Amino acid sequence: MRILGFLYLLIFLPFILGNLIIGKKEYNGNFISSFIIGFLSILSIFHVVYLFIMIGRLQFHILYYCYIAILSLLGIFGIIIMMKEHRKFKIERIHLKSKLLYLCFLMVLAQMIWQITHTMFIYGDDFSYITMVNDIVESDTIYGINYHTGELQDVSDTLYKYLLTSYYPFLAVLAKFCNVHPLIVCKTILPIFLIPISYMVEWEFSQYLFIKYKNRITYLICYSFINFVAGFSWYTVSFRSWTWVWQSKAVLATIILPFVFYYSYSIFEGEFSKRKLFILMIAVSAACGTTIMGIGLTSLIILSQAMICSIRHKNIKNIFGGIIACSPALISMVLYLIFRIM
Amino acid sequence: MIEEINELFWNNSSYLLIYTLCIVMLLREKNICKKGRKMFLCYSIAVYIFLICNPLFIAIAFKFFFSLKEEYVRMFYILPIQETICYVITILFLSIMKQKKKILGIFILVVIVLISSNTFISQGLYVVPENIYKISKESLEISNIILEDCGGEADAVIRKEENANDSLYWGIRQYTQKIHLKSEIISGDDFDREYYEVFDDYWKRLEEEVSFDYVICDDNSEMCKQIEEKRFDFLGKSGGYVVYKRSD
Repeated sequence: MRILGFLYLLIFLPFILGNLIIGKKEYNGNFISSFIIGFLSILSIFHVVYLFIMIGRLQFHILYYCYIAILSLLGIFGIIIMMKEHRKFKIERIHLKSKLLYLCFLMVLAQMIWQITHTMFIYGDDFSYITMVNDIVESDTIYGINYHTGELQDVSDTLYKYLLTSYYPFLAVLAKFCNVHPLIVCKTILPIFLIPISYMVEWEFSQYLFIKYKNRITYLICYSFINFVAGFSWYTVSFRSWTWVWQSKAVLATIILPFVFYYSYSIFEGEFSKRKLFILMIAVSAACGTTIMGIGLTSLIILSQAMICSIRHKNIKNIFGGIIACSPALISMVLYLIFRIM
Repeated sequence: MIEEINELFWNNSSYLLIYTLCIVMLLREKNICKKGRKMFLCYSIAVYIFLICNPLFIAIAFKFFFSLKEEYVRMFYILPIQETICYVITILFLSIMKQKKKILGIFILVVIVLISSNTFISQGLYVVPENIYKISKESLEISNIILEDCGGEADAVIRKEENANDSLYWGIRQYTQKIHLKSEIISGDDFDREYYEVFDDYWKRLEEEVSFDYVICDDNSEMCKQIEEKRFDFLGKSGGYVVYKRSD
């Protein structure tokens, strides 16, 4: 049952929601693309629901039931749409005879197994994050516990940077829904899902660089290899990917930012559509929920891409598009400033 | 500041050189790298020069958003370093047609990248966990001893060291919220020197400031030797730590 809980929240719902958002025309049986968009959507929806509940100072169980209800309703709606439009589950054709494919699978699998079977002996800041997740689950409050002592505290005593971060309450929902301790969710279960998702993003990224399937696989193998050997600093994306991959900063650096990078490029350089802009807004909103830094970093990527493409094509439409895509970040920034002043 | 940030990120490795070489390759190979050129080249150069290393941008960022260099260095996340390197490597690999040359090329490349840096595994950052929760065995056992005894919530005092690597303290906090850990942050040396010499005074002050029913301390510490005189009974032990409970 617990496994089913994870599969429902982290595989089934993202896929259905991704399908719903991506639209029939653009769906074209692309499982990976719709799954990534769906995954970002569940983070994004949670962020919106969380902000209302947090500002209303409501308890955690209200957030939990609201979120699960909204997601399930959207899931049912998604299934109905899929059935009405006769969409078929079609996974991108995999060349099973390709040795490179197996090598790629092996490298990703090795990274996953390593993280599942090992833990970092240094603590870093993960102690405070997992503590906060567990405190939310056990106390039924949202950041209402002093994470140093475990005692109740007024929410206004919590740092505003945590209050505006919805990712850890999301992990609390995940732990409660699957009835698994947050320590196990974060350190063992999430790497199984998050590491492949980060490679899926790179796989999607590679389609803008290479046409041939074999070349894309080669790129992914290179990426995995560089990920493994880029241990030169503790501030790289590789570090995030190889250490605390479940942390909000890691999700931002390994999944959301690369997605935003190639997706905004595809919009400003290629086909500009309202739906694509909306998907980019979803990604920005998901980034805002991970960490305060996500607000700035996603906006910088989008606006830089928009600016460069506008200069290249002498088309000011991209800049407006970029500003619209960054609107969730703008709202988060306003909230951030209000919390900071208060 | 710019130099410090770069030093912090690149950490004197040759990755900056590799990345620069890849950018130069993109500049040179106009035909092969058409798509990647568009995507990486303008963006990487513009972001690196006009944002990450721009003194004006740094000043604004530090005024409103960042307080530490370690935070600002995360700006490098927006630079597609790995993607650029991988793209150029793949392009190079594909441009070598002969199989033998390809193998030689891969070998040279692997050697260059390996000597440029090291893996996170080789840095000794990992350990095999002692339990499914991936916290220390002592944290788990001591938490369970207290939780079984109190049956609900418990107030405990623990010696918490200054550094963040206090695995016992954070192990308990991560495992359960039901044990409230009330203590001051004291480094081990200060604790022994200043407080144990006047243990009675320290104890009196501790009991005035916080209410608690459980005490967790090092097996061989001064606190452990004197605590039983303070109406506390031995409750359990794990590893090098002992748990005492207030006598009824």
